[in-house]
Formats: sequence, C-alpha cells, structure tokens
Amino acid sequence: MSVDLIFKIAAVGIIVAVLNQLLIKSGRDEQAMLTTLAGLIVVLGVIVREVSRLFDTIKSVFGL
Amino acid sequence: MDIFKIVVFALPSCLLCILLRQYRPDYSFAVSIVSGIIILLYALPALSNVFKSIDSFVRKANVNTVYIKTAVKIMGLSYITQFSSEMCRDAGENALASCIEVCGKIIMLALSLPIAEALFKLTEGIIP
Repeated sequence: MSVDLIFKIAAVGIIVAVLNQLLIKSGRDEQAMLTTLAGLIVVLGVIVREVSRLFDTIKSVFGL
Repeated sequence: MDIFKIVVFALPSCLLCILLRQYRPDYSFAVSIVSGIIILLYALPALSNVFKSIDSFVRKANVNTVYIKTAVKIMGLSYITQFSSEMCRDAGENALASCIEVCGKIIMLALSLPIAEALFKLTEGIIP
C-alpha cells in the first residue's frame, strides 16, 4: 500500500501545470509543451511499471 | 487484508483525482489508474490461498481439475477485462471500453468451448 506513488504522480502533475502556466505567461510556448511532454513521460513510466506488476500478480494468482 | 486500509487509501486518491482534474486531466487519469492498481496489488494475493484450498478439495474429490482450472482462468480474464474497461469508461472512452469487453467475451467463449464439448459428449452417452 505504497501511498507515496500516488503523491509522486500528483506532485508531477501540479508542478507541470504550474511550470506550464509560468512558461506560457513568459512567452516560451515551446518549452511549456516540452515540460508537459517530459512530465507525461515520467508518469507513463510509473504507470507501465505498476501495470506490469499487476498483470504479473494476476498471472500468478489465476494461473493464466 | 483489512477493508479500512483500502478505504483510507482510496479516499485521498479520489480527492487527488478531483484536484488534478481541473488543471491537468491526463494526470488525474494517471492517479486513478495507479491507485486502482495499488489497491488490487494489495488485495489479490489473498486469492491465491483460496485457490490452493479449492484445489486440494477438488483433488480429494478427484474431479477432473481441467474444468476448475478453466473456471479460474475465466475468472481472472473477466477480472482484467472489467478493470480495464471501467478505467477506459472512467476516462470517457466508452467506445474503447465496449471494445475491450467484446474481446474479453470472445476469449472467454473460446476458453469455455472444451467444457461445453465434454458436456455434449456426456449427454450423447445418456440419450440412446
């Protein structure tokens, strides 16, 4: 029940949102897009790792 | 494996999902996926010793274990299908969710074919 993973993803989301606003207001729209993509890739890495752990557990429990 | 831990974990993550929905909807979807997965990872291993005891009962009553294995497989399959289709529906992709459900049903049908076949062979033997 590792709760910190959820807070890590939420933190990345909030930081990317703030950075996005900051960069857009200061006129650098490309960097805003890049930071959004970077944040999304980090979160996708976490999700893929968790999904693979879940599917391995289901395979071992249900013998699929 | 107590329900309070699950509830105490699920409510804050729901709150986080709502919080993130206004600013970054994609991260709120990510938070809901990961929290669902973590709860499942916490709850699923309890099932494995249930299946072990069922297996020992079945072996004692020397029923053919192929049917029980298929039933357990279908259960796992339905579980994954339901989980992923609900996640897609949560994100608003109803078409994708029903697509997953249709494919899950097809796989379950294919898996349960040998059992139906054995049933028909049994009934053929009875009816002269």
